[in-house]
Amino acid sequence: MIRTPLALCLGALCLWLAAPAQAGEHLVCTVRVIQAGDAVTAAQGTEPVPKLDPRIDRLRSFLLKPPFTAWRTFELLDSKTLDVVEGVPQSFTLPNQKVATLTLVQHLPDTGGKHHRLRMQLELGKGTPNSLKTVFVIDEGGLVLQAGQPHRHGILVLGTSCNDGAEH
Amino acid sequence: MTRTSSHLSDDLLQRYHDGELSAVDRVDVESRLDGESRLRLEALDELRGLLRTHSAAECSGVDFASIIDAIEKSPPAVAKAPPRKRRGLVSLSAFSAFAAGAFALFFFLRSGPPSNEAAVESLEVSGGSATVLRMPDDRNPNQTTTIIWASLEEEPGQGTGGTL
Amino acid sequence: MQTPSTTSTVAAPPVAPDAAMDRADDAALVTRARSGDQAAFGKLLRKYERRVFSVANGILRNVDDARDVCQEAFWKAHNALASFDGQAQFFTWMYRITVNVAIDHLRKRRGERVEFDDARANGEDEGADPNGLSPRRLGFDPVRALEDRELREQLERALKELSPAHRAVLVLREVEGLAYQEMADVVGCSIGTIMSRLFHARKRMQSLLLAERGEVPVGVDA
Repeated sequence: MIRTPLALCLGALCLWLAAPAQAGEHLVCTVRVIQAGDAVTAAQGTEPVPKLDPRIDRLRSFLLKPPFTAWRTFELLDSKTLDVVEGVPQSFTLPNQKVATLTLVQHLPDTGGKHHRLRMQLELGKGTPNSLKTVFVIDEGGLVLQAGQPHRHGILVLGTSCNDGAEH
Repeated sequence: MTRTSSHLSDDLLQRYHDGELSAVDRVDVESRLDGESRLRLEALDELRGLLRTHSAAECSGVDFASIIDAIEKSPPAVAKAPPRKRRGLVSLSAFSAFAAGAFALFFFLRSGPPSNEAAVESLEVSGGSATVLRMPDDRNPNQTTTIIWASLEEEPGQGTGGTL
Repeated sequence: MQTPSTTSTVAAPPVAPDAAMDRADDAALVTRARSGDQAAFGKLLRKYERRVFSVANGILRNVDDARDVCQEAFWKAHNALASFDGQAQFFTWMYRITVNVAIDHLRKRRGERVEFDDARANGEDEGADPNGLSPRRLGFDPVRALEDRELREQLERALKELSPAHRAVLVLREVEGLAYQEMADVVGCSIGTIMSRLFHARKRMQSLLLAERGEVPVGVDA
């Protein structure tokens, strides 16, 4: 009976395609560290096409909107892939030498929505006089942007997205 | 722009109405105002009043506090030379945008796009300032993408603290 | 339509309230901002945020788009402050940025043709009255008009019929009270062009509003 396993496989494939990413204790978080530079100083005329690093082209729709329209170049400086376990902080150093720490605080139970929700904590410069600590809840696979840290005559933009392995 | 049915041209009336005439010319115009010219000025006056009232109603409640706060906390801009034009980037970007679009479409069809709207539960900052900005999310028309904007000073400074 | 009053209500020339003091205050804030005082720049933005929004919304006729444009204009002003030579007043410079961002916004987001060629822009008058400014009033008290929803909707429809170029001069002159030279600086054209646009914009608005009120535009029944 070849048809039964085949049907099961097809069914499983359909379920995988149809279902949102499943919740788990273990997440893969991708943090893209982007340098926004070349501040717009011309007050006149149509602005030239911004220069976007092709590696972050998928973020184009975000980076070409205010407030980021004030900069004309966007370069991917670093991309970190972190294995995040609930309650265990993961740290890495940013180009401005500040340490960024990402923690999965809680994998929230499914409330019937399409996507599971994640309570995350992001810390920048932990233990230093200039620091940020924020807790937010976002869809698994959703993108949250952190921006504004001065760096090289521009700012840093961190794009963070977490899911159970399949990057969105 | 001239009006032949009156001895005061529209051009002159408009400049009079807008306060663009010299004192001498104003006196001259006022000495020549006839009934229809007065009516035309009144109609202009009415239009101005309507537009001002309409605009005032639309602008009530306008508040850009969060964005202005973010600007205040950002580093001062440095004047730069105008950028050079670059060719080839457009086609590369167009291809990349297409690829990204196809990639996004695959995941959209699979499960619908996850929301980028974060509920920020706490925001603590020292040595700088932070705020939460929202930008429209093209994939989810009724939702926004969250930007946690923090302008941390580069040099160690006095902590300002703050909790949202 | 109410019969217009026969007593003169001729508009007085616009007088800028405490203009000199205001300009000196702005100049001081600009100087501080250019030296790196971000709080001074924030003060300037707070002072003009509503007026900047008024200009953006006056051109775009969409509150959400106007908010986006204002945010972008604020950032651009911040980044361009070092290149602001102080020859113009801060608010005209700020308006200029806002108008340009609004025009770019129309071009990019909606694909709307932004026609600033006066021969074409004024062509929207074709079919309207062949004469000049209307001697007819709608007979509304502007203050009470705030509560008149129907009039507001009529006004909105009429404004949306205008080209962005005409909406720009109307809001800059009628709402913001800019002088012709200031408007020319903001829009980047000659005073003659400003006067021509203003004339056509007013005439068009009057015709549209009279039509909205069921009145025959002036000139047709004359």
